[in-house]
Amino acid sequence: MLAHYKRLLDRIGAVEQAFGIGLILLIVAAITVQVFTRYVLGRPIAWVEESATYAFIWMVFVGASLGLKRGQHILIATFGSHLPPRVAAGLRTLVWVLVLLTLVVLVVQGVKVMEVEGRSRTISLPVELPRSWFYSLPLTVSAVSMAFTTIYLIACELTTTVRRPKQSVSPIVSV
Amino acid sequence: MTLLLLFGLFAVLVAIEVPVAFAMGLSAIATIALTQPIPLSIVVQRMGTGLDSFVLIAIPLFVLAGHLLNRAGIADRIFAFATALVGHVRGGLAHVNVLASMIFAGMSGVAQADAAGLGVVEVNAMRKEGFDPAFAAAVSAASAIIGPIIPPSVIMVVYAVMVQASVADMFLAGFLPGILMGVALMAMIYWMVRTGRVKAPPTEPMSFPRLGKSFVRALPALAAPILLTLGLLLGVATPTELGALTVVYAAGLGFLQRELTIRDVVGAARETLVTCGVLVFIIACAVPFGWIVATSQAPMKLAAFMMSLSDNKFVILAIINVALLIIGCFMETTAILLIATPTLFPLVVALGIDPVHFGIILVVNLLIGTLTPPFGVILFIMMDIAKISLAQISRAVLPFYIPLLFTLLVVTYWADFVLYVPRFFGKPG
Repeated sequence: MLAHYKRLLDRIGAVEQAFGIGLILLIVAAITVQVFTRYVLGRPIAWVEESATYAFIWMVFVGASLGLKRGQHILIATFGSHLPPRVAAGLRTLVWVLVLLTLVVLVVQGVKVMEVEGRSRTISLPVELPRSWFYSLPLTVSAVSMAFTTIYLIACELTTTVRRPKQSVSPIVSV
Repeated sequence: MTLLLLFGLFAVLVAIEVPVAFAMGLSAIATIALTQPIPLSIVVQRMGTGLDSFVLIAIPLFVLAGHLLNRAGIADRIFAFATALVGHVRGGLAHVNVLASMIFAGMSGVAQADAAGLGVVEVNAMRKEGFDPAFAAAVSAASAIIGPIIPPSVIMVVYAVMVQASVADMFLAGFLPGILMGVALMAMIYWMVRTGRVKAPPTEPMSFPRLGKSFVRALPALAAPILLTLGLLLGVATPTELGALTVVYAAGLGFLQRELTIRDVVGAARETLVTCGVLVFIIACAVPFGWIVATSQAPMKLAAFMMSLSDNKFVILAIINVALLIIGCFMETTAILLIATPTLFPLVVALGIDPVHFGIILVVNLLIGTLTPPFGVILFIMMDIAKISLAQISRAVLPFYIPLLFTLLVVTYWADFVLYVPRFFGKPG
């Protein structure tokens, strides 16, 4: 059951990864083109810069979701590793429930904001799109995806002490 | 009251090991829900629009450039060049380690990239020569933090966006402090070797043919920081554009030298995606958090309180530095930056401190925090590479606090030193 769910998450992760890598390459291409147009053609194309910004926002939220699947979100290891395994698993369950709570709030509010934001349009793109596609939508989509991952993590902690859960401590990434 | 709840909740959540980003988000959500007469939807609105910044795009670009350069085997070439240049000085590879980090700093924007990429090369080379692994790890760790001080620098981008300072000015201001830090570290190494505190193997004499050869091999790699520096000094492109150009250059170089494959590029992009996703997500979560801090008027009150204690900016800067160094032992760098900047900025403005100058103080201070146990990200990376314990590396890194704190002292109290380059090349004012 859990293994099936994990496979589903893996598949979502693969899509997120492909999408995210595409966005990064798009950002590089867009900004390189912008430099080129400014120096060679003498004027920058405004919508290139805007599309790079939108790609960036999507990239961040997709990357954050992928980061949760990989257990790469930065946390500060305090006393968790000194606790007896059962208590530690209980504490981690609480942690993931709190994370899930945060994500649920983000999803619910995200849907609300989308309606309001959807009324205004993008500024300089060649096609006019609802602004929400680039602000509240990526946040909401990523929060939904992260919520699914968190449910898996909670399930893992609950069935734990038998099986080791995905490693969640990785203080390797920061500025 | 509002702030007590916000910070109290955040502290508790971090203490029970909730990831920092979610701890910020949840404490902001709970505080707004319980104390503010505004709808919760503000959290979502702020998070999305908070990332709408062309400047922030520089972050994934410089991270990607760093990953690409690492994969293109540039660390080895730079290390060989630095060896030919300063390998003959007493202390040998320890000096090479610092110099290589300074050069690498010119193309990488995060200390982690320096520690994890160049750090492996440095520690292995020093061990092979007979240096104590703990000492090798400590030198690599201390010199890795030069990475985000000499431009480019991800942490400076984040600061500049928050206080609306010029990223280019921040970058330019980083040159002299970064070089000073490198020289101070080398002086410490020289003294330690000289007085026999560290055993260093004998060194080979300087060889000009070797220097020339390694220079030619390292030239394509050296060109990246040189072009970047020129671009900044002459102001021909924004930092974000320079980031994209560095990526294109690094990829082109790697392909031409057949050290990079498409697979490597995809791999580098994948790492960048996760690194930046996690990092910038913290920034997104910090936006509503910072908004509560700002609207609470607390920064103003803090400013008034501090000014009532002393109106001497030297005293206040000393207090800020000590407080941040202590917090840096326990807290994650980005989180401190994101909370401390809006909290302290009104005070800084009231004292008449240049925002760029303060930014450099903050950056140097927080980076020293990555080297202080129990929570020191760079120490974690280096102990992993050198296969030593946290206690061992903590002890070995101890002497290096002296040159690092010396640099912080100079940076804090000699504004003209920090601002010399941006004043000379940057916009007037």
